[in-house]
Amino acid sequence: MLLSNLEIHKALDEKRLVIDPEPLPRVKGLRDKYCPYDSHTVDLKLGNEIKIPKLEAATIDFSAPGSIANLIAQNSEQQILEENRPYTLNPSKFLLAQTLETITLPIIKGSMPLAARIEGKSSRARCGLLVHFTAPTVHPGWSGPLTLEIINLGQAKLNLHLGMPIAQLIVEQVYGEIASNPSQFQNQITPEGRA
Amino acid sequence: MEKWLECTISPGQFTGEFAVQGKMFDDTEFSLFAPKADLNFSGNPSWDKPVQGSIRVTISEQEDELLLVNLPRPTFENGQAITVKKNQIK
Repeated sequence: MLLSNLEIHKALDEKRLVIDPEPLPRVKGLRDKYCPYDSHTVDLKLGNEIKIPKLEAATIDFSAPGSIANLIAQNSEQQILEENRPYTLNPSKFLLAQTLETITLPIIKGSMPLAARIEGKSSRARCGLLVHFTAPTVHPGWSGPLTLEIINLGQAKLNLHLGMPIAQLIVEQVYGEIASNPSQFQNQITPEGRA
Repeated sequence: MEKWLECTISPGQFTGEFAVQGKMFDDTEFSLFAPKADLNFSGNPSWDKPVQGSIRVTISEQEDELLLVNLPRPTFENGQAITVKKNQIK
């Protein structure tokens, strides 16, 4: 079941969902230019770190264990976005970035856990910007920023600005108990606090 | 049950995360990116000088000298649950 914007606010208030910093305003006021909430989504912003893979000469072999994390980490060029200094993404180019916000989906005893999915925004998609292509799921127990797999599929260059709304989060309730959740130790809390 | 699995740690892609490399029960290697909060190490790992440390795991099953443990993030090679030897765990 997908959470409406009001249910997302409730989950934030009850700390069943933590988005840090919290997207504001919750409701668009007369003088607000922008509100990050839509009917059942909340916008997430682009963080300051961008990693451009430099793997042209590499072959990634998924059956060669133990080397992939190091290979990717060592062969990435870093760019730091600053205010008024966007990164220009050329057509057909791929990079990794992260959301400005940290997302936490704590598992609370006696409460149905929440999961989430990150999706693109139609306004960006129309310009050819893909912000994820295969890993949208945020599992119960997750805590951290979300990594964005960004590709420019359009024909124009795209300027990526620090803090621009770049993706949207859909929050959903997981029905039933989770048998063996690999992430459950990460943020398991009781109503009294962290276990 | 929360325990710590020995591993080798080097810099990750993003601030706050590290590349983690370790071995399963049969010496097959695994690797993943993990946040600092799930790692225990001292020093400042670099690519030419990775450090030895440990990664937080939960044990979900055990039999004789083998343990099935859950890692905080999925590995590139074998999903999030891997089998290790008991003596690899602290």
